[in-house]
Amino acid sequence: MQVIINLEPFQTSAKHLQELISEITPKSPFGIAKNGTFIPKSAYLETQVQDGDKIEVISPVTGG
Amino acid sequence: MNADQNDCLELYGHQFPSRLLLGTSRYPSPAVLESCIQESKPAMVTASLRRQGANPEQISSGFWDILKKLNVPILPNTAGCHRPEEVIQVAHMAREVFETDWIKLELIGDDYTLQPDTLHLVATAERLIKDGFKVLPYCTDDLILCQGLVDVGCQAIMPWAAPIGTGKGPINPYALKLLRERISVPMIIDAGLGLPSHATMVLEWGYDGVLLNTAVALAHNPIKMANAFAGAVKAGREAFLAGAMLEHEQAQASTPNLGIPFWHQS
Repeated sequence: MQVIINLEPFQTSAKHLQELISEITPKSPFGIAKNGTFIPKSAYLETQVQDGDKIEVISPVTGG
Repeated sequence: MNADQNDCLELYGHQFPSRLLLGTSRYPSPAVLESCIQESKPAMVTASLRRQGANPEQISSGFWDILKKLNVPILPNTAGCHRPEEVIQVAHMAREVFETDWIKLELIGDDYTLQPDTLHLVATAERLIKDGFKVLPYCTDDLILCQGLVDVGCQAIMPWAAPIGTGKGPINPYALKLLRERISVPMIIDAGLGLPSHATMVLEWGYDGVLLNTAVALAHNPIKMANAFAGAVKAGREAFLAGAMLEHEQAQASTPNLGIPFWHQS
């Protein structure tokens, strides 16, 4: 199936978010949102990944 | 009273030795940013969240390493959010990533002026407070808006001096002075300051601190400017605590008139 990660298409067979994260290995620290909703770390394992899901992987940046 | 030792900025029951909050964007290099933080010793530094890969320069591990190394309190912001729901999601992400309940609430209502969305700011602040955040809302100098933020539980607010990044200094001194008279919670002037004298001015008026970024980052020598702002904030606070003289319309001689030499001798 195909998901969108940070606006880019990504092919995966991951069943849940934890599995997807282990495939993409984001740089720590990071946070995840799925389809516009923040997913806390504690919910990665129970959050299913489905075709067409939009995943945001975010990191600290400078800010004012 | 010595403002350095005995006078702390208190926000949500936490005490901070400095009244300067410093942004971390637009510096010439991470090394300069690090030196500015070391020089000015801010109470907090602001940071934000963006997609990984969206801006490789900003998302370098260097920035995160600096924050961890300096161990300065972090104030995450919700910069760029235009809808309350975006703010809520980003705030929750920030809490997990930065491991802090502090949040600088930015809800932008107009891209040209970066003016906050004053119609939805109060409800958004209320929701964040219910979610357990220590909310520092970026707002305008509108009295009713600020009172609304206080009424929903904001224990400090951050009115602007001028639009973000303009460096104009307080463009409406009357409104800011009136706001200080009417609002009793700590207030930090956020945005629009360009000179250390601007910071001194608002501290003299009784504001509790300033949050600035561009004025330091885009100075020809950011490190010197960071130091200048730190001194300016202390000077303004000490002047406020000292209590300024009353202004007069007419000249009043400082030197005594009695015994002026040659008086009435010609």
